[in-house]
Amino acid sequence: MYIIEKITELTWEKKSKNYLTSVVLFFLAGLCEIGGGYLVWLWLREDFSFVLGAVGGFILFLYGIVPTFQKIHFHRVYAAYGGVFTVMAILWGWLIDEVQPDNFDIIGTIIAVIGVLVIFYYPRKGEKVWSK
Amino acid sequence: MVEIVLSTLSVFFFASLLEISGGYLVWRWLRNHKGKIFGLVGGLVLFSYGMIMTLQPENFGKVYATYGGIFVVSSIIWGYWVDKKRPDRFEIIGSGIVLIGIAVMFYFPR
Repeated sequence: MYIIEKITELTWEKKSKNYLTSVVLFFLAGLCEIGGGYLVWLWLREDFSFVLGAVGGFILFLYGIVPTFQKIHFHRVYAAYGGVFTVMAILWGWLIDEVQPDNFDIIGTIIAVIGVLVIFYYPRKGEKVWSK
Repeated sequence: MVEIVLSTLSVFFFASLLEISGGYLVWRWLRNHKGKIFGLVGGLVLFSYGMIMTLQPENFGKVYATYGGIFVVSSIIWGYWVDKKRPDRFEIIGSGIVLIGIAVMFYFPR
């Protein structure tokens, strides 16, 4: 319950705009990182042309640019990004690479996300999640 | 089994080192107004991160999903080393849970 209150409180905080921008940027970063990585993967693992790999490398470079727009820099935020990244990667593998995740992939992902939630949302005394 | 775990974990952590340092170089270029050479080298390092990831002996989705968990742990370590933020109890417990999750995903024998 405390967690829900905390989230609600955060959503209504003035910083909620920063929060939204930050989430969108992380999503975009994840998309570039996974998408770019996927093109490099197609080049080296699936024998697609080098051109595809080079485009992938460029998208990875763009991925490097995205976080420079982030206003919030906090190692815990990056930890949360790792959790989002895991879910996005499983979905990418499933929907785009067309390899269905098995039960252990799904269970593992759920456990990892629980770990990230503990890192990110477990309430600490006298500390705001979105400290600068 | 032990050798596979060690070699794949080394590749994962090496990849995260490349990712974080490549991103850091791009950051220096754009945010600290260092020369374009920082951006260029950063881009190449990020490219090599993508290449290193293809060394993992699994399918794409599983490799990248597992890497996400490695990245969580790397961020906490990074926070400790660079930002001098000692991980608190829940960061350590949470990292442990994340490691269990990726162990189930990547290393559980099928």
